[in-house]
Amino acid sequence: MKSRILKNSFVVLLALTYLLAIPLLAARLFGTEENVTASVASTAHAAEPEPLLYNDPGKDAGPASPPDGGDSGGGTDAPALPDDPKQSADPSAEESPPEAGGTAAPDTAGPSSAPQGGTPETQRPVQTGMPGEEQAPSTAPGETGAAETAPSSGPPSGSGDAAQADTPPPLTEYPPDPEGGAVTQDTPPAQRRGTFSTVTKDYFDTALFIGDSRTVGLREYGDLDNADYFADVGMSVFSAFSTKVSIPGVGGTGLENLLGTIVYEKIYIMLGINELGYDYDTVVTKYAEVVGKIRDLAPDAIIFVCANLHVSEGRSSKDSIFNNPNIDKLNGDISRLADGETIFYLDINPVFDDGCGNLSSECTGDGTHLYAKYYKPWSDWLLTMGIKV
Amino acid sequence: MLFSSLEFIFIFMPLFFAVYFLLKNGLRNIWLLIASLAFYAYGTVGEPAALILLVFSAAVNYLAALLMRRSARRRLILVLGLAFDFGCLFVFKYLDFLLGSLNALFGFIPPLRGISLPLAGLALPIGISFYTFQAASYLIDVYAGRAEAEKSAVRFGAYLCMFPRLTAGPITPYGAVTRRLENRRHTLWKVNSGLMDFALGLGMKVLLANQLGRLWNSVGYIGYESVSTPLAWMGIFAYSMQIYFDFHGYSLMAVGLGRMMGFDLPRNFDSPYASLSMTEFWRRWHMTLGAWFRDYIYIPLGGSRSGKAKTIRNLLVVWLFTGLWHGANWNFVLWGLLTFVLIAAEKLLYGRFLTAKPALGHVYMIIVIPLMWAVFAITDLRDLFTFFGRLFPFGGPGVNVYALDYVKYGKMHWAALLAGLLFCTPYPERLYRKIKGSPLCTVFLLIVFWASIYFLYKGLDDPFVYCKF
Repeated sequence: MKSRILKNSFVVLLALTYLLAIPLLAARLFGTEENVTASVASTAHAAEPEPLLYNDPGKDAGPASPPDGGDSGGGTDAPALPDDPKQSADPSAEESPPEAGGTAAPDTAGPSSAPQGGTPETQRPVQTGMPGEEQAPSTAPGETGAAETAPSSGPPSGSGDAAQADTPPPLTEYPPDPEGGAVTQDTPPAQRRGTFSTVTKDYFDTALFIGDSRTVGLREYGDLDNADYFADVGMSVFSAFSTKVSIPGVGGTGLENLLGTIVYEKIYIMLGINELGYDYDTVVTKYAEVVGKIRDLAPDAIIFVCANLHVSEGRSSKDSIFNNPNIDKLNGDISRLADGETIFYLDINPVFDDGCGNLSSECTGDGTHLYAKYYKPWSDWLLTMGIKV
Repeated sequence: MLFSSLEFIFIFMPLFFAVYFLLKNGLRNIWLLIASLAFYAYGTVGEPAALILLVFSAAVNYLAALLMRRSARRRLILVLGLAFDFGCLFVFKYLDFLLGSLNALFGFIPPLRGISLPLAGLALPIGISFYTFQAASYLIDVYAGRAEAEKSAVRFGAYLCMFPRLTAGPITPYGAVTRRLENRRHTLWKVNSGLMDFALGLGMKVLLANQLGRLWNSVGYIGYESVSTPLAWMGIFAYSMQIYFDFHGYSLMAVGLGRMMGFDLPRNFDSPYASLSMTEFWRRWHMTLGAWFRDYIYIPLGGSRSGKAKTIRNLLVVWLFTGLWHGANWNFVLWGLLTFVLIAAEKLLYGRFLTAKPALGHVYMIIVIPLMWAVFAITDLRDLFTFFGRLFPFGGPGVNVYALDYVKYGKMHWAALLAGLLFCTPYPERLYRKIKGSPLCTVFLLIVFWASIYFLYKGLDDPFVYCKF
């Protein structure tokens, strides 16, 4: 008898532990919206590199068929480009002449992304990143003040366009961002005024990248191996100063110690995707705090606050948290931290855009991270977006 | 609803078994049928066609078998019944594949170029590949006199739809369960033992398969052209283990659930990775599917007793169908053909060397198994080509390869890889059978169970690889 009970103890013990677990599981299964949100957010935190939860089945296009400019453009921008040739011949005839006028945008740039400028205005007047311009005064009066007076500074104005037009050939292999105009349109003031120009790789000798898994990808697969990367999977503005990362030549270090040890001239920050799902205002405040602290620790560095890379259409449409409206909203607020003097805003999204404000599904397998081969064009793009010190 | 979901484990299962054991013996089959249909309905929410098809299919096969008993035109009824079963399977699973392939073909024939047949766009009903095969085996067995036509609609419905094996097997011929449907004994030990198998299977699925799957997914997310050769191999080994633990774990859970109700469902796996040849592998991998193809296609065609040429033809037929059964895509056809080539070559050329020298056989299988799974896993043939280019990097370096990627992913997944390797050998399961019921085993399985629940709770679950049919 005794041995029979012992032999069958599994079912008994399991039943007992079941009872103990029921309150916990009830919370999960019948949890309120908030609970779900929080748990999803924390999951994303832990599992950001391979969000299995959100497997994107639509990766058939596959890596074997890299998008070539003509092709992917055709599907997305056809209606916007009836007069493409004219535009590429004369960029200044665009619908945004005041800006373009300031700089003699090199017409040698050819049919790169710039020529499309302006056209999508009517098509897609408000991208979510854009409210930055209108709403700015209320949130960041100082900066906007600068932004509004900026046009008087002549040459710098419109050089955002110029930078786009300056773009070297590598970029044109990728979706020639039919929303190129959106770059012009949506680009916040700071980026437009910045003296972005093409730099050589050694520019990044003194650069530091701070970021999450996307930045980890840039470190591993990008071309800029001379830069330092304070990047870790799941990093957020909440953890940036508490995480330890191993930096070659320094060893495992926190960010504060790192900035005290090495003097970087350029600091790139790309955080924010992991923060989605947390209280929005707290995130924005914390983001500003982090940037401010970095500013204090590296007073002479140029800081680039970088837009978060979009997610694919497939993911964005299904995900209540990690979707492009949320990313655009946050990017808009990040862009407002730029002052155009020492803090600049960079938005990589147009390079990998599918034409509708999403990360092109050709560029990603999981809907969130780029295929390795696309980190090269990313680093190439960064080379065109240098700020001369 | 997957067995490895919190809904199943904490709502469906307790509810089902509570009612099941409260009911009298005579009502348990009805409850099993009702609960199974509810299980299926829940799993196919939004696709009412799937449930309707299942019920309709059950009704047609039930009536066909009954008619066969009385009618003089038994053969005609058999043919019509099978035509219905395989017709449904064809329409829902293969029609678009055929149309798409025809459209692609038209592109190569100038006069037909430009013709594009519209696709049907039907969703694949869950489990159709499995229950169709069961229904077909039933009709054939009744026709051949190996089984009695079931008179009770409830019993037949419970046989065809029973939730433990509705969505992914094990495929069980009717004769094997009929006795148990009429009369089965329920004992505490059966419940306990079934639950232990369930916990072990859950652990395999959640703690091993899902974790190994993350490694394989990473390879896809990086892009096949950009993985280093060591990572490519690591990835395909991980996938090989993932698919094994995924399906083996699922099958263990199904058998365990069946045993809790007093059924003896057949096991599906017998340490296949310890095989010495492809031929042996397929006797030990997804055994119920292999048995189906053997009993209902290979042997009726003459098996291996009508001369070499016919044997080879029969193998070819079986493996083409086995390939297609696994999915409506050209890579599965290729996969079936390659399996055929290996099995035929073993039969004709080198099989006896492999079995004579086990070390040789193991080395052969360690290379062949992951390569075959690569063909299985990568459905796009160009991607497959790219991936083989990384496994065997004679074609030059990849694109943007991060040379130390395998160190990174090795650090992330070494525990799952090592545990997976261990559980691919026959020893852990041999030990399990020996100590099942001992306190040590009980404690181990309790830990496995709750660790799995913890992982599920954390949301690291992903669907059974094998439910994509």
